[in-house]
Amino acid sequence: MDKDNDILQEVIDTRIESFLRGEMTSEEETAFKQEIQADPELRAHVRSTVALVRGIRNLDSEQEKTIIAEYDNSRIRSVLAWACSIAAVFAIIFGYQKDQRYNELSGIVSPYYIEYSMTDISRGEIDSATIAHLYTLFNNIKEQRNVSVIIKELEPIYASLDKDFTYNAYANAIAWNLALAYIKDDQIDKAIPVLDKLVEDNPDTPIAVKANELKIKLQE
Amino acid sequence: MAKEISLHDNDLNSFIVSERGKVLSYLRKKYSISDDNLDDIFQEASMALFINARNGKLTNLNSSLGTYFTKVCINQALKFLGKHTKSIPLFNENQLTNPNALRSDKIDELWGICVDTEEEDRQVRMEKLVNNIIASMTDTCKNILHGYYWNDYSTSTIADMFNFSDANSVKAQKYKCVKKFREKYNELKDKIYG
Repeated sequence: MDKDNDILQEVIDTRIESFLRGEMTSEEETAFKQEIQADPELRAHVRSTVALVRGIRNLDSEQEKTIIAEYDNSRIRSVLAWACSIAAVFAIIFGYQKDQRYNELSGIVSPYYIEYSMTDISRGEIDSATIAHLYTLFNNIKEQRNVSVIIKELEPIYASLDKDFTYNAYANAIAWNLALAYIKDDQIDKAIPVLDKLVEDNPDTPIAVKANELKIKLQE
Repeated sequence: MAKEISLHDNDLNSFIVSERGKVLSYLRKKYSISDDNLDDIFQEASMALFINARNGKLTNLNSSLGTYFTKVCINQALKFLGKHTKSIPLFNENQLTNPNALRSDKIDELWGICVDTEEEDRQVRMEKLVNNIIASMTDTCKNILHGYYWNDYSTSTIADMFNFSDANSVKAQKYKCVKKFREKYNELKDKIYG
């Protein structure tokens, strides 16, 4: 009896799904709708199944909307930042020297950019998605004119390096790129201590040599 | 105020982490690629998703984000195979998802036939009830139902992603999950509606 009931319910579920996927002919649809209206038991069955489908889709669609909206907001902020940059360029045309300064600072940092590739990631340390995001930030310092959003993201990570060892393997890369972003953003006073700390933490290493070299160029 | 993105609290990051197991399981079943290389493929796909998100390419997707990301991973896998093997397997999208996706207009139409004109507060209570029942389901049920009703994955894709023996096992399990939901729903609905 139960088995018969199961088979019947499966047949109804197949019809519901066929309706929801738009696979029924218009005659089949009309007949199905009439049956639902005439049979309270069938209606209750359809109602609970559609409630489940709606519930799942609403929950997931809300979650995905949040994720996408978060990035859209970030993009809008970037567009605004770019708009500000463009405005700055116009200001320069009218006598300000900001563009010259930007070019000067970009010229100082440009030999020091490192191209980060996903194949450089050491497996099993932090989840790869986090590192992918981190590498995207690093690469964007070179590519983007306005790096203030990147600085905003890197600052809390850099600040947490002493307390939280999650990013230990990437500490030097985080510090180095934050320093480059500061310089590009004309925040030299913030870049110097980061470079000093790099030298202090990595005595007699190539990164210390580079950090010292960069500091001298800034002081010049 | 717009929410700031941080690496520690990032929804997209959490999303990618939550997709990892099933996507890798699917790729492992479909293509003969070592685990190390699959890791690289997943990392490349994650990077591509971040870049696409930042470029606003996720705003008008015609599938769920999960399905889109799975396709990005499959493309990366095919790209890898193109570089490393002589013959590249063909990717048939109809094997990944159902050929006809569930249609929101049809869902609303059928829902409209089944529900009486209810007071608003009762509808809200019913929606909460549905959410609570879904939340209380087993992970197996959630995986199958989310995969099937939201991502529109075919039952064979779900079988590959969640290590079922075949599509029929997924169908049988899906039926049990829906039945369980229906029983709970009707029981609690009767309590609310009296």
